[in-house]
Amino acid sequence: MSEELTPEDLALLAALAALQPEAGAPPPPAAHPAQEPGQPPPPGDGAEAETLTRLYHEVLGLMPFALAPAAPSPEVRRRLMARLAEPDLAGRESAAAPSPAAAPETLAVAEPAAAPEAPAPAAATAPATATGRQDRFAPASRSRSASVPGRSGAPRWLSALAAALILALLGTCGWLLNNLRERRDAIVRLAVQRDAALQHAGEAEARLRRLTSQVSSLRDSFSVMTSPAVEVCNLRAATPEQADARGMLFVAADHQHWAMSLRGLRLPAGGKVYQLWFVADQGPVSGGTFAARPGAPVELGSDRMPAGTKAVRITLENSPGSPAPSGPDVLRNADTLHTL
Amino acid sequence: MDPTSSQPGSPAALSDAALVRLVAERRPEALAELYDRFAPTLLALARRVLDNHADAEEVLQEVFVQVWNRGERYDPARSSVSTWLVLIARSRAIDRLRSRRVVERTHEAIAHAAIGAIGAIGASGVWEPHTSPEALENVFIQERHERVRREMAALPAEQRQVLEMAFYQGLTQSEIAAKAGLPLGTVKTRTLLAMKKLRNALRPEIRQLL
Repeated sequence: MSEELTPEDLALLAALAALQPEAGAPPPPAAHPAQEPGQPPPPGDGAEAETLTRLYHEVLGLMPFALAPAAPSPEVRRRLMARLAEPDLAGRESAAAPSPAAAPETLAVAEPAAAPEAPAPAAATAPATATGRQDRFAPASRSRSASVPGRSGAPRWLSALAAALILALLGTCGWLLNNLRERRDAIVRLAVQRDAALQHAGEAEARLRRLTSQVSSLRDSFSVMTSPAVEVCNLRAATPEQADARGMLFVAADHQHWAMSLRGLRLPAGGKVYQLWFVADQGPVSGGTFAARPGAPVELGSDRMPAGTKAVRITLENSPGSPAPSGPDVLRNADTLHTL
Repeated sequence: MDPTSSQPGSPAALSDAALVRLVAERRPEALAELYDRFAPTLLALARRVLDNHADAEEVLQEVFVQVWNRGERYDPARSSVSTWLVLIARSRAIDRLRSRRVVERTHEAIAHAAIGAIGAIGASGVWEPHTSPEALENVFIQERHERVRREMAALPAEQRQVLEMAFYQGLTQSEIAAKAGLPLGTVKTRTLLAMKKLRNALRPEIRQLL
């Protein structure tokens, strides 16, 4: 391809090569820029090469304008301007002073390996007005040293440094305190959340235990009701006030396991409970007390039944129950137990 | 870009080169005006190179610190201010890309807090920050954005790709050829074509800069 390269191509490639950090600061186009292997040197006409290289240099400089502008945060601008006021930057002109005894330049930011410079023309020292541009602004005439007041003596410099350190320390303390406060608040919030979660878990666990117990009870009842040679007995209302009450008693073949299903019982009056009685040879034996809610079935059951039980009764007794039937009968067996 | 503002003496009315001369004379308001004009473009450039907004903002700050320190080295005969700034930013960003390091966030936050505390005092009484969104220079820059974006988009994709790899990733043509799996001659041809097209299409912009 090198055979076909025109002077313009070479100038263009020189502009591109000047972008490479390895090449260092781009040399003037009249000299040979860093080249790709096999790339011929720019043409001998220095002026033309210079113009063309500058031209393509500007083309490259326009490339970022194809990107959507990005708004920097105001903090960047504020930090930058604050940084200009720092002694190491504000005092840079001391290094530029002709006196060799002047303080050395201390740049806050190191120069990159490839500090970009525009390609230097042969007349690199041409004055700014060579561009023909007229700048209407006449800057205020003042010396550099006058533009940075307060740098004349070491004590002031030391004071500024001390003030800066104190401010930095205060800023750090403030940041740490704020951070600590935020973390403490976060811990409190997390503790509240943890307590709420624990309470919720406890409630869920209790509900699960209740449901497990109910399932177990229902399974037992189902097991009794479907066991072979199960005996069943209808329970009928024994009083007109509880005319809707009814039930069924299931007794397993071992005459020990039993299950009872009741419907239509009213809510007992205040201070009253229902009490189950097994009527055996020795008389009524309490099977326990229970409550009832209107419309809700009552499921009872146990793995024990007094020996010789011939009938069952349900009476309304004073809470918490009676040692012997004393209240009115609510339900009683309509027939004797018989085998299904 | 000759200023035509009716407010002589205001930094917003100055040319880019005049602002750089004032920066060399330690005039913070001139640097602030340069910042207002070019920071969005330079930040976009750094972000494109680094793919990280926070790093790009640090590069942006470093660029203007460098301008502040080396303003007197700018030579208008060698390049426009715009190109000078763009190439400083590009170099800084690529340099950081190549030696990117992880900065511990806590130290960063402390440093920022300290700098912020100092800056709050240091900046007060020195100058009044201002923005000049309506300034003519800003209008020129906005128009430049639109034109360059349009012309870059008009380039064939393969030509745009090699150009962007060279500019934003800092790759040599040999490296581009290796990375894209193309012959070196093809890379050179595409680059030359793309640059020539841009040069022809952006003549008015370049004329303004020169």
